[in-house]
Amino acid sequence: MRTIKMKMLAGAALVLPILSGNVLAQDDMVGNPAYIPDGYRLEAIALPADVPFHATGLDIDEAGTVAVATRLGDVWILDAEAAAGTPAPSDWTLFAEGLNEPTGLMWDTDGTILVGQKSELTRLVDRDGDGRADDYLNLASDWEFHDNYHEYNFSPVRDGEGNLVGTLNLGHNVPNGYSWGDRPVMVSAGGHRGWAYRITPEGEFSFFASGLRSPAGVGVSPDGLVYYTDNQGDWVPTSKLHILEEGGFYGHPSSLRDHPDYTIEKLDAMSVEDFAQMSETPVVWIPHQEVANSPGNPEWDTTGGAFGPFEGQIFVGDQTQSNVFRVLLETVNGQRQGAVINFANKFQSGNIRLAFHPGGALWVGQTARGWGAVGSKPFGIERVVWDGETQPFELHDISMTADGFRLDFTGAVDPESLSPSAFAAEQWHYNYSDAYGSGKIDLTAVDIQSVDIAEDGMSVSIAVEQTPGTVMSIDFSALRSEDGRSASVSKVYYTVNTTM
Amino acid sequence: MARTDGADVAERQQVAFDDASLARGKAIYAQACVACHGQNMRGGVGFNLVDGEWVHGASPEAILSNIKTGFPDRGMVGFESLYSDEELQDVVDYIRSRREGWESGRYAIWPIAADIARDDFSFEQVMQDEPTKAGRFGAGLVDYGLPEMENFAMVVDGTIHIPAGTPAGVWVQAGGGGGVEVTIDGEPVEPVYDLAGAIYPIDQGVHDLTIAYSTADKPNWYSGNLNIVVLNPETGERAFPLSEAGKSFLNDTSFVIDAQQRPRVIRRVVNNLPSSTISVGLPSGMNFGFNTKSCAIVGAWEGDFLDIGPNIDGRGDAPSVPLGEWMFHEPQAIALSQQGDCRYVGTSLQDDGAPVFAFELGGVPYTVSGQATDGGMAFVYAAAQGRSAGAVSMPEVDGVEMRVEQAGAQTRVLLERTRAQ
Repeated sequence: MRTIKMKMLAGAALVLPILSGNVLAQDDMVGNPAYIPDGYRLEAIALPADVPFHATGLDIDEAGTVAVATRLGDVWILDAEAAAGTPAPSDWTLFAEGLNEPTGLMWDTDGTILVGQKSELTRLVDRDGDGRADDYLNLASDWEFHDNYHEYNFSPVRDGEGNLVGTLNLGHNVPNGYSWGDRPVMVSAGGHRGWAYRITPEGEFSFFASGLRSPAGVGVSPDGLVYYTDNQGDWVPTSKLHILEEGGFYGHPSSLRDHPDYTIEKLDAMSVEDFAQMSETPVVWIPHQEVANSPGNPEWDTTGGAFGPFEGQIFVGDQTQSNVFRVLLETVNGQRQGAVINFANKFQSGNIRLAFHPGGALWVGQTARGWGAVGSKPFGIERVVWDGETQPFELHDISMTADGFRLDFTGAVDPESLSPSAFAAEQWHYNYSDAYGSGKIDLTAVDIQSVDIAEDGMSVSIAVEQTPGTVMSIDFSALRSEDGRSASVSKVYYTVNTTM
Repeated sequence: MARTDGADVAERQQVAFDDASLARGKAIYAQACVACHGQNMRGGVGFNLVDGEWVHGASPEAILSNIKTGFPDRGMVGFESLYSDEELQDVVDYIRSRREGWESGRYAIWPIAADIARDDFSFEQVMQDEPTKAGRFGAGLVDYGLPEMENFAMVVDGTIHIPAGTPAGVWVQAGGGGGVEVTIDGEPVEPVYDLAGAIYPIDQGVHDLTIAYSTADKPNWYSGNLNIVVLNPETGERAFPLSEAGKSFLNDTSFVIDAQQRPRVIRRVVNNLPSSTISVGLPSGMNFGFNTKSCAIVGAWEGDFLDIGPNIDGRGDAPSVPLGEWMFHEPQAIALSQQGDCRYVGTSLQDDGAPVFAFELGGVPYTVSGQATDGGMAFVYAAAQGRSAGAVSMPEVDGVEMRVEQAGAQTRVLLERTRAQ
């Protein structure tokens, strides 16, 4: 018996199921050849020797000074001059140490540094100006930390009204942890795990939104709104980006044990449909494996063109995929929605933090400890640099039209490469439940009814039926630029929350 | 992805070198390369050379060219003026012959019933269904923490590089053996067992390796986090890890923070201390913990401060370990007798790096710091505006004498061992 089983294992029966079907079709992206727009390159940043430099907090001030918080608990500073050139290991100076696994860091306008430790949001003050923090001040610690490895505090950012905002991860295997249903993954043992908090400029603390799972990235748009990403898992069918608003419930019921309107008994009596009804709609769904598994913070390109033609767009790094993708948002019927598209991959480690340097480079803080990453280095910092000359040929933007989408490109499209069959579109939706992630539900091919190119060749309109509540992927790999190039990434994923 | 039908086997860079060339390459490596890339090629100032990650190009031609010209702006000189092309080719061969570990590894995970017996379990049946998770770990390590569920089957496959020179076996520690099935180059392999696990012999070179594991009949105490390491089955000497747990096992995970040169202040999960405790090590070898939630001293110990290794390994789900001997720890505590809500304000580091903790109790600001004394340690309490900090409550601890001294506005709590450990 045993031998027969082993023979089966050795042959097709073992390997084929991994390879066939959706999961592996999606998985193909992971091992794909490198994609990066023409004119862009990755540069590894030299780090202090013999220091575990898992960079989970990253911010760059207006002068270009880089500050990094590491999972070991250090804060390191790279001065503006070194950061603008090619940094050497000795250019880094240790500013603070001994912090509890920080996963967020922000320069404040007064030159102090705010850092999100697991158990506290802390202000670091260099009182005597010697380059080392003297005061570690408790700004907030109103949540409970149960010594659980997963209970991160992703903070802070400052919203348009001056509030400091952070998000609190649920725990995993926490004693007395609560999760709805009988297949718990992420739980809350109380103390506002799975909530977002804020501190007003007057110092008033409050928990203002719930339902978060692994909210590993928080960012603020140029118009002052707080956005956050959540990682795929139970109640999060695929990773997603939300606008984080007062009173919002973002889908994971474990957090509701701390909500004044609920008790555990009441929650247990509720259904998946009840929670679905209450849940906020993400501005974009981020397809698992194809784009991201564990996205970090959304970062807006406000470099005024120094990073190339993507000014105003959102960039997000992914810890598992070791890639960076773009988010292209618009407002339709008063609702924010839009698309995601990959930007660059083959980073050396897991990308968790992004920050734009005022000179135009996109800095990437990395860790692969505890959760694997496609890039096999355990930690590091890289930056994405545009050469300032080469015009890439990529999808620049996508916007919904009354009968389809308009795709704008960074260069003129060769009309010869254009036909309805040059595009392939699919749509699907996701199943919200306590199961760990969701496949693509009702995956169907969608007909491209017609295509049309603008006179200048810079944009292409496609007519296609749109269905609210779905994600549509549009593959345009047959398109070529006037000078014969194909885009490095030729599949975009638009989240159709509403239609015109 | 073509490897299921064997199509990509031919594309593999078969490592078949002649021994004389390897010996020459080894000698030059020892002269010219070892200082930056390390004795075991796992990196130092220079990159790791055995992990299959070639930042500057992976082909033998690219490696040779990079050795010849170097990266002067990154501290690596070019070697073309020092050695002949033939000599440097020997070095390239030697380095490539040392490649170890996974290449293009993949995993797939299926949930299984909690109560299924091992005899009733079969991988082929489980794998009829779509895996709930699948992905790649490339040239990294497979992580058996990925399933995030109690009962699962996980199949891992990929290409593996086994360096030349010593006999090798894949050692799998799976908490009791039989839930593991291994094939090498498509053939099932019967293990030999040592005290802690099963060893699947494997030859030098490049192979397809598949490891199938299920938690069926897993003992309750076992986490399912497989420890997989390549070792020399004849000597037991361990070579390199294939899984995350194997890496932890190989690395001595200890990461000691000692306070011999200066005071150290660390906020981490620590054995026997409540969460939200800040741990302090003093150069005298006295250490203590201040709990920011209760504003109390919740532990004191003598020794080398802290080993935070377990808490920064993997996901960090194990606590740091205080080194030395406890004088006392939670639930015992030293605290001001003053009643009221505690609010921790912050920590100020003095010029010598020693921390002063500021807190409010019932709205009144206080500070406390720890100092070395001739016989032990003192906790010094002070209230704002020169007022007395008032009375202090202390635990009764066998072998430790505690007493309170008033010195002006300061309240000093002195700790001394009355009995040698």
